[in-house]
Amino acid sequence: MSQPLLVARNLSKTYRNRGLGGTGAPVHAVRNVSLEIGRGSVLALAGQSGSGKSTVARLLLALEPPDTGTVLFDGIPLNDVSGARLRRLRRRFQAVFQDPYASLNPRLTIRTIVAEPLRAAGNLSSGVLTQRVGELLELAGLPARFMAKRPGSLSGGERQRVAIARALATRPDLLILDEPLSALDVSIQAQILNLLLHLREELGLAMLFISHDLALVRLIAGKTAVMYEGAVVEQGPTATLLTAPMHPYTQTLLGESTPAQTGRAGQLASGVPWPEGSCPFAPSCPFAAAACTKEPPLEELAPDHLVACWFPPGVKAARTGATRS
Amino acid sequence: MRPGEDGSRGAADRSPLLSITDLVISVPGPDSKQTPLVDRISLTVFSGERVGIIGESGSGKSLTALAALGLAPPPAQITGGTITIDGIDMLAAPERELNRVRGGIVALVPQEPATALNPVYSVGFQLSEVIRLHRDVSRQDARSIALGLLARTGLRPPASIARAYAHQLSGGQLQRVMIALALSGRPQLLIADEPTTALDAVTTRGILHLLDELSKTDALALLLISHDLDLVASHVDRVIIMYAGEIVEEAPTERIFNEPRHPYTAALLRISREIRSPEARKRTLSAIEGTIPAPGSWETGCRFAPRCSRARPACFAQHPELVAHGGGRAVRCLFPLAGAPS
Repeated sequence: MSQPLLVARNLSKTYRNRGLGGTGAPVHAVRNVSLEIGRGSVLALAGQSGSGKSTVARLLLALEPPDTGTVLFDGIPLNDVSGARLRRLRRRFQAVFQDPYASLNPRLTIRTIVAEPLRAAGNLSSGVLTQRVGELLELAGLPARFMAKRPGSLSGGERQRVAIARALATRPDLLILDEPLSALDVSIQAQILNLLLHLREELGLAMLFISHDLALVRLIAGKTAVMYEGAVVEQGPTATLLTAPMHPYTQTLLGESTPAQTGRAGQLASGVPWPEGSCPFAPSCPFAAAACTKEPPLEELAPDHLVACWFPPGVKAARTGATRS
Repeated sequence: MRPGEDGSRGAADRSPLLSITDLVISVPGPDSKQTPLVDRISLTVFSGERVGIIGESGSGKSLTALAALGLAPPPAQITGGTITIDGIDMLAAPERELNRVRGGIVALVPQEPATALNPVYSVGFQLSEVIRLHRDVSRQDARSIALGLLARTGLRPPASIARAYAHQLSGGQLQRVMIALALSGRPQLLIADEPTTALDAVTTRGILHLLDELSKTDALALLLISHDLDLVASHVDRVIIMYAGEIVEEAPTERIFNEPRHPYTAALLRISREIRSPEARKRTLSAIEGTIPAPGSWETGCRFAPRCSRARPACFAQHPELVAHGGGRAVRCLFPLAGAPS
């Protein structure tokens, strides 16, 4: 097979906590993250708020540069392109965001919103634009008469369809969807998931599907990466992660084990600074041992199944280099 | 049938804490005609009982809850029905009395904790202030009560949380602060309006677990409002399903889950099971196509009929009434799924 559509290698991004009440302490939002998305395949990125999922999305979209690491889109390093070349390249990867109430300009008509990327991409006559917008709306499951409406008269599900139609305007190869379902009602979530499934089949679209809810990605994503405190802690086929998760954090996400420490109210000690160089999940981990003061690397513990844990529960032998004492 | 009779809690106290009868909430239209948003809702919450209201955006569930405290946002206004809390007529009582009820008997946990706190005062200061509003205690006592409430909502360590400002706390921590605030007036009923929508899955479980604990240890009644039936089901004794401004089904939680009678309830359950169950291997989900009708565009027939896979001609002609099915269940459907009205 040819090279993957998108390759991210060892991405890291650190912010300074400045401003009102800021301590100036560095926030390691993304730590050494590597991902691959094949053509026409869907990768899910799961993890709780603050785990770094959206920062990864911003780095992949070249909205900001990583501190270290590279992003290759179709073999082209995004760090090396800028200006008009980057804008041209961007047509091939588009984004859909969480809140369709905030991502659409309320003053514009749906026609103007969906046509915007087309206008930016080149000179098209008004007639051609209208026709193309009609096709895009249809692709997103909306009738052409929606063109004259404004976002204010649309429901949350309809708005998310408009955002998807806009993202499809430049015929991208990759959609980056940041929590596209979490602002929607359950009955509408199913509609939008069905639409995305259909688009994957019909257009062979590759997707990065970001979600804090691991169960939601089961249908759409072949592979899933789970993030915790900026790092990928487990990665593998979605079905495997859902049925036989190895990392204690993934198990917590799925509601299988209760985290230790703050267990009284079932909350994780997330956001608590962990000792430099130790496993970030150790303060909340029911299986933490002495070896966990050293951060475990992400390693392939089963075919195609990567885990960053010294003592993955359910896996018999502890990993080499770690002793429980 | 009252909830105490089928084994749920609150059997000792038979007078409802919150009682809403035939509540209508409307907004005036352009031609000064009233457009109803909530259409003849009746519900009761007994002391110590946990009730869930489930509905999509636009079903009127949050508005009903806000109106119960006399807080329906203008231009929405109550145009019919009665609301009684602990025997007090909420639509007739003077403002002073209402303020005693708000926070003192019924307290609200809002949807967006981030916007509910004042950003320029510490969490402890705001909490103490509300405590002193409800209780005649010194500043120092209020502070120690505040620390106790923060500890009770699982915030550790309470002293450093009390010193923090809203922007320094995570979404989950903020929601715990809101619950501490709600508890400061020692209420008997907590109304939680989508308390977890802004939170991720793990944090959500923590908050619901906390509400469970409070309802057990403090015999606190709970009215939990959500769009996610699956999520709240294990945390309430009774479920009320709303659609387009009215109740379409209500029943003890177990009955809703094991044997939904309204096609809308059944579809909601099917969708959340399909989305979440790792066993299923389907290519597409059975979605409910279409969208909830907006207020003002409600049809004369059943409001769910246009989206219902079981709709028959009669459903478009006749508006179904909410019919008691026995066992604490009521269903608004001409052709309910199983079992016959008793």
